[in-house]
Amino acid sequence: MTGTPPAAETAEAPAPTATPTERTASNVVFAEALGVGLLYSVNYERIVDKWNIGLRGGVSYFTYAVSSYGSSGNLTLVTFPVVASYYFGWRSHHLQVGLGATLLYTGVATDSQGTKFDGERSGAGLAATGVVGYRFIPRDGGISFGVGFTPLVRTSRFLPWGGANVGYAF
Amino acid sequence: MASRAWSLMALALCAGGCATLGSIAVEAGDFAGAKADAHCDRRYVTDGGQPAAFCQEVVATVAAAEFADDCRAKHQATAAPGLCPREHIIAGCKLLEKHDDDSVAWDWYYDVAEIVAEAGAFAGPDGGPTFESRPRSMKDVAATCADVTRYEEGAQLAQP
Repeated sequence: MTGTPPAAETAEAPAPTATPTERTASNVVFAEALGVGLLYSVNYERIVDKWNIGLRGGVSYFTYAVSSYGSSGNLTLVTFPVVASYYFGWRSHHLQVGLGATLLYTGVATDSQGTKFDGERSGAGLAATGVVGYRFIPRDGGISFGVGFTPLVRTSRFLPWGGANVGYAF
Repeated sequence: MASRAWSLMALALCAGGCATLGSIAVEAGDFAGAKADAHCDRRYVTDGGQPAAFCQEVVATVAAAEFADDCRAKHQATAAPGLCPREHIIAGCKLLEKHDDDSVAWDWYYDVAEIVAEAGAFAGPDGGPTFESRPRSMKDVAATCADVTRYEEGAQLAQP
């Protein structure tokens, strides 16, 4: 018997159905202006690709001389935001929806005699926070950025807030 | 050094709209608990200062420490956290001037008869009057509140 064999016997295995490439950059370091860190924050986020989630932790430190008199103490604000986010979307472009908390510490200013001027909410405190926004996180690494609505809530106080971030995914 | 860096950053940011940034910072500070109340009691002075029959209080300010230091440095008066003492108040003036941190200031005028009785009528600097002017009634305080040379931006009569 001559002739060409059936195509099925000679053809190479069919190409697999096109699927999104797996994420190779699962770590993001970024700085955020305003946002869940209040004034700013420096953050690390771990992306768990198979669940489309990101787990983020950050820190910010701010100190300011409220009084120009010598030996007066600065106002100090320290925050530790922690957020878990779910990422909807395709490849590197995402709708981010997250919930978290921000641990706040406000060290009130002192005058030149060392008198502390405590506010109602000064000292350590906890605020609940959320994130709804757009986030670009390249799957293969590179510049990452985003913008979103980041409200914060603590006892009897709601702060409609927002933030913008830029960083690097690797 | 860090403080200088923040100041430089603040100056740089100011080029982009200081008022907006300032109000954002005040909002953040308020949320974090950076605002406090403070008062400057002008009745009680040191170092040859001239007593005055009122106490000024500032409510919800981020600059409470500076206010207290100003009180001592400029008026040799008595500064402390919180509101002015309420005893012996005749009435007050709520200042209408706007502050960058949205704080509100009040001047509370007192019946200082007890202080004068104790210290004498001429216990001021260089043997001058203990109090240069002393309101004795709500009408006197109302007239003071309406005095635009004293309160350029205006003031409203207030009860404690």
